[in-house]
Amino acid sequence: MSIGESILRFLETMGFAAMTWQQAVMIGVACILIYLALKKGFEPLLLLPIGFGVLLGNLPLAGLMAPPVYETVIDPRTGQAVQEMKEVGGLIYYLYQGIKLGIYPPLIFLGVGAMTDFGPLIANPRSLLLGAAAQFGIFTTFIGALLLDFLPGISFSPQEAASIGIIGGADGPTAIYLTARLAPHLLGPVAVAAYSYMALVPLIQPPIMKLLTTKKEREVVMEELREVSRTERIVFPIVVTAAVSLILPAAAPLVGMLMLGNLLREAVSMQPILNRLLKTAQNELINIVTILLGVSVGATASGPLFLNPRTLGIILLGVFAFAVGTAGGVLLGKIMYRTSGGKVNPLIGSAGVSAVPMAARVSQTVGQQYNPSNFLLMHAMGPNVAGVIGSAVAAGVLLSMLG
Amino acid sequence: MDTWEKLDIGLVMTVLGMGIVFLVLIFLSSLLGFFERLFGTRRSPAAQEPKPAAPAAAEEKPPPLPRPPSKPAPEPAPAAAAPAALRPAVVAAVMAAVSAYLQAEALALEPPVKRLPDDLSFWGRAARLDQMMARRL
Repeated sequence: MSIGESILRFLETMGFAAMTWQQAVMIGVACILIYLALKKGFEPLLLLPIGFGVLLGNLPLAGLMAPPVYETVIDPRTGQAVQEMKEVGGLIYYLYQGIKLGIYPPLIFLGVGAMTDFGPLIANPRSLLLGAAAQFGIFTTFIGALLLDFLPGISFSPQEAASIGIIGGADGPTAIYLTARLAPHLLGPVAVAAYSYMALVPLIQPPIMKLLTTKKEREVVMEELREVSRTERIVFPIVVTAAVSLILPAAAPLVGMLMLGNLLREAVSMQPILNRLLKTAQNELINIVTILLGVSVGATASGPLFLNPRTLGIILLGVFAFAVGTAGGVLLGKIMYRTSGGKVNPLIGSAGVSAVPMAARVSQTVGQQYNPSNFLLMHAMGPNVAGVIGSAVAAGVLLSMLG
Repeated sequence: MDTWEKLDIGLVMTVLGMGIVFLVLIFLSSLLGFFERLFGTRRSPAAQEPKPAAPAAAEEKPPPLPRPPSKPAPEPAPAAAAPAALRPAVVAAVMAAVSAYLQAEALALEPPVKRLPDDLSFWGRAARLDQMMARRL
């Protein structure tokens, strides 16, 4: 072989020779996501691994997402045809199995539960209703996605529509868990939309909150929450797991792991040795899973799947889902304001959108604009964490009906 | 599947889905109400007033000993019946913490609260934390 032929052969193995325009565009999209994560601070914990995963998944010829190649051979001992692995799959193909098999999102929920204080929710059980109302965004977006086929090139099946609707739950792990089961090809755009809009909660929510409430309602100062006993804190996760899983078994992985994390957190006061497990759940475990989840999700966003009109539909519907979820929570908050004789500030209803703790902070910030001595943060944390349970239940419903 | 079929599916899913979500969460809410009765503590102490209400006590029975020249009355406690004698430095520290948490602009506090540089060694940070914990209420 001459040197010229060797050089040509080498050039043909380079990624440049095999790059398509879609891959080039997706590499640009990856750079944008990384920019948003680093420079603008858009949920960097997830958006940075996702952005880098998009880059890795769209590198031509790298084969990071390539499945293993099997060939059928005859076993010399038994004489039977067996499958033998001829080529190992790519790195991210194997990491992706954690999503495909529904492992990563529940593990993330374990960490979330370990970091979440359900005290405000236990002290004010009515918050659960606000968390439920905010899930309205999921189902209205589901309808919207189904009806979007009047736009050319955009048509979603019920499973795809459910994966888009769950964006309105503002819960990344839940969205990924549901989408991986119902419409795995939409994982990339759904995850990117979900985490981007979660970062935009402080921009999306306040105008809706102000539109739907009066000045008098926004100024309501709520009564201080009661103290919650240690027994209640420990019994809560056990009972919620059992109750929700018996009613809706499909929600068991998410709700169960969320509550296990919370039980670890609350049980430390009785058995300090459990602090080891708690620290692991809060730190190492969730950090490791976050990296693997983010990279795997990003790598699924290939050019042909991401660069089409349906992605635009998903992005538009994502905003709609957040907006309707916020409105649903605030409107129920208004009803509770009236039925309680003015004791409930409707602004905390917007925190039912389960972007913890961002949505609760937004309630606090908007409330303080109208009454500087008003501290709504802890009151808003009740609906905020209720929304996590609510979105997991909603995902369980969708999975039961459409899975 | 035509548009009407899709709308039909959508509406059924919405009614069923929201209904189940509400029912589950109402059930949990009822359980929590039951727990409160079974395991809960009573109201938090916040609603109680501070017993040594200094501004109010100023007019009470004057002690036999002559009082020192009256200082200006302490700040009228706003909504949350605050303890009568919160030092300004404590108030400033609390407001600085709240501002930092909310990422609000730095307030002009009196006395001024200065953010310490974050370039301490591990042992320096441990010592600082130890001091803070020792002063914890």
